[in-house]
Amino acid sequence: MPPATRRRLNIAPYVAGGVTIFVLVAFLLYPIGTTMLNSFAPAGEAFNVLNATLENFSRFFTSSMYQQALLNTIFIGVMVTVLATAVAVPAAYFVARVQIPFKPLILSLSIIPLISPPFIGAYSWVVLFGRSGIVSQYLNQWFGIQMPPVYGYFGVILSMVLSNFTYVFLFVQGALTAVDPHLEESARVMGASRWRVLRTVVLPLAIPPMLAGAMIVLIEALGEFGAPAVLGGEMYVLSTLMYFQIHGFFNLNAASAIALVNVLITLGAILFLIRVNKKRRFVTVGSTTRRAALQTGRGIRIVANCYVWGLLALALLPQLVVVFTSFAEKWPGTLWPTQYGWGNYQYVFSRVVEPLQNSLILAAVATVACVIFGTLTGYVAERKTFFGKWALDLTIMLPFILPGIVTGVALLVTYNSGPIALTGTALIIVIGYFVRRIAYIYRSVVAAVTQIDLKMEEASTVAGATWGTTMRKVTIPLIAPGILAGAIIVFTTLISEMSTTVMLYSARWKTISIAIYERLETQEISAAAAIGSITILVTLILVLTATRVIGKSMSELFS
Amino acid sequence: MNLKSLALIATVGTLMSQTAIAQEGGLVVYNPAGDAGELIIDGFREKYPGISISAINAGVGELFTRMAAEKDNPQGDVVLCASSEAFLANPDLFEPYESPELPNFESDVVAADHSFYGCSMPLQAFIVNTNLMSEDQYPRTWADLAAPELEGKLVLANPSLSGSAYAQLAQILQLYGWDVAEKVMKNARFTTSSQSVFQDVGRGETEVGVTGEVNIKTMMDEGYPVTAIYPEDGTGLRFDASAIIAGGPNPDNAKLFLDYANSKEAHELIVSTNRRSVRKDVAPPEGLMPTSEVPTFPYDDNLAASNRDENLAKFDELFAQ
Repeated sequence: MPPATRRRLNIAPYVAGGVTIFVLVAFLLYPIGTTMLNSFAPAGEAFNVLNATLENFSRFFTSSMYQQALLNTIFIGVMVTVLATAVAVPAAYFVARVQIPFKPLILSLSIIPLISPPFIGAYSWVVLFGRSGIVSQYLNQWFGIQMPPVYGYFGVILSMVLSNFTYVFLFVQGALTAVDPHLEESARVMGASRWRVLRTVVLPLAIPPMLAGAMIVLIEALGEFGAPAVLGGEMYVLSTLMYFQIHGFFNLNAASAIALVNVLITLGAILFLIRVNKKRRFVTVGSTTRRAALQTGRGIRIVANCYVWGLLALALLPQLVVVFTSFAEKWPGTLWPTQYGWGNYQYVFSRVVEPLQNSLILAAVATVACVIFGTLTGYVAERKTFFGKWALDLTIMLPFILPGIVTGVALLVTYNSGPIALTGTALIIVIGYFVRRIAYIYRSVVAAVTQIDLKMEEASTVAGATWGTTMRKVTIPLIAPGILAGAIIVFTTLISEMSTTVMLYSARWKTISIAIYERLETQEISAAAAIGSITILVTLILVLTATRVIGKSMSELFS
Repeated sequence: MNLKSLALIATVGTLMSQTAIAQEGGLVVYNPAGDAGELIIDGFREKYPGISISAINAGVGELFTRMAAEKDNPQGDVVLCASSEAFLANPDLFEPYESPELPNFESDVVAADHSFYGCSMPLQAFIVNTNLMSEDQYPRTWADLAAPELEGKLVLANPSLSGSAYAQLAQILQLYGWDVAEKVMKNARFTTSSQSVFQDVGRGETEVGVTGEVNIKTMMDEGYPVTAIYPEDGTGLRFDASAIIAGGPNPDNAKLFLDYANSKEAHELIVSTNRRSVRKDVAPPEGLMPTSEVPTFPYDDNLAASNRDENLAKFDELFAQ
């Protein structure tokens, strides 16, 4: 730490800190803390010291189904995280460092796997690779190849890797784009080969954002219910058991107990990653405003194009199936639909406009809130040393780790009655979205700030700028790519957020994910696919515009 | 509580003059019944245009979790057509009410304290893919599901997933006990998505499944290569029910709505969505076997409910092996 500067009293940090603490305590710590405590209470009761029990956890010790689910969860979580990272890092490097066309389009398309309409997204893999799936049937007819069953570990891991690699891809891509080119140039000048520079300079620099992305992938993988439910066969995971407790037993306390075990696994992973991260401290973003030169060799360009587009094509398969299904007016269990047309779109049109509007408004407001508070807390957590830093880390991660329905119920119970009654309002949905997604911005800001030279901020302070001005003029522009990547992810995933929304929405604030869910409830899968396709298209256009517009103004910031 | 006193005044008012029924204000319906619920809501809206009615559509699990979380300040007025098991598991959320339609209901589909009224009958039947199986291979009884020939050809929803899924296991247990149930378990893949059961059979992923007859009928109407088999050893007569949420914001409109949901008119709307009504004076959907001809057995849902924890624990234990 630099010596404390004694100058005029600056209240900005205290105001910002106070508001942040209030928000964290009122919307995160209190509601979710009480719900977590309830996991030590019997079914249907609120926790107090007298009714404390470990009953909800006992099955982890007595039931082999629980133990097996725990092992499955850890195995899938680790596999998905490792594989998603492994496929994402080369793609990120290619997009950041090799001259390939349509970069904004690539970045925007990579977001689309995050919008997976519930059920139909995962079921797309069955439609393609199931026993009577399209691909399986043709492989069998043409080549006599019998596809292995898609059910079980293979299908679950495959579908989860392809729908989650984006987190790592975007974070690493952003960091590699922002890295000070002097580092590599110096290495080259000193005679290191390209490969050596890649191995010893470039890739190590990508590690903090890679870990930040991997952390998110891990948590998503631990909490995923849809893919294991549709593709897992009899391979159950912890979120399956949580689903049983809520839907089959109406026992939220037992579900919270399972969630708490999930939290412990994640906590272990967070501590592990923080240790790994501590050992590697690099300053990669210095005073240079120049971007690294792009590789233009023919060979590397071919490889880069093939890899990136191949990966995108695979990852977008489920979404393509959804779009295809939306044009199927009749598809009664045959290989291909028997009637195509716009009928599904005509049918859903009147049901789409308002929910889509609501989703966009709610997601946008929540994203702004996440950006403001996520940046503040992420910055403070990385730059300042204070007691209980790990507690801040955990508090922010908690609602993100927990299944959405638990967070939704926590907010519902807290703000349903009493001094602040928020049920039925748009605000409670925004709060729900905010607490579930702030971790994305927080993580990406922590990763970005790690890489910024502290001297740049000190220079600003020494020159007489206040803390607020330094943040505004120096720090934020430097971490902007990280924030932008986080914000786009937050916005996109909120558009199709389902599990918290279903607890908090009111008739006035019905969202697009609820509209999809309603069509699924009435077995109108093609109609659900039509709403899903509209959502995908609108999100794609918005993200593409955002990357272009903000991306452009960002490069102006640097020049 | 302000709302409660308002409700009291309103109730007294209603008692004093039967005609003084509120026909304005709001009403919030929790609807886990998909299109059937949507039709009833539309029908009510047409009848009482002064009441602004809105619906929260979600699954039974989500809606009951929501109601439990909102218990101190309920936001919904009525829950429509949710499985009776859910009501038995959450007895204190609902308000008893004497609906004028009561005489039209058999006593076994209405709660003893009149806190809920039967709606549709989600009978469980076998769904068979007619492309993957020839007619002589179809399972005809619950016991047939245990036949070794069905190994790997049967998909069921895990009984912990929902009331319907548990009812399937409970029926096998009440008919044959764990011996047969264990063999069925050996044959079946237990999915955790109830949609997957009939979708997988309809799309030709699996030969046989067990699901609500409405799902089979809907797929048959759309032209899927599936057929419904009612087990000859009998399916249990189960029912969905509707109720007034205790302490809801619009208690008078809630009563008005429940009366409508119980009416013959509304039950005919239910039938139009391929669901069977609990009312004896409403014919079953076209193309479905009349209720009197469906082979049934005296399924004891109280016994099923009281044994549930024990049965499911045993199931989990066997499942893990």
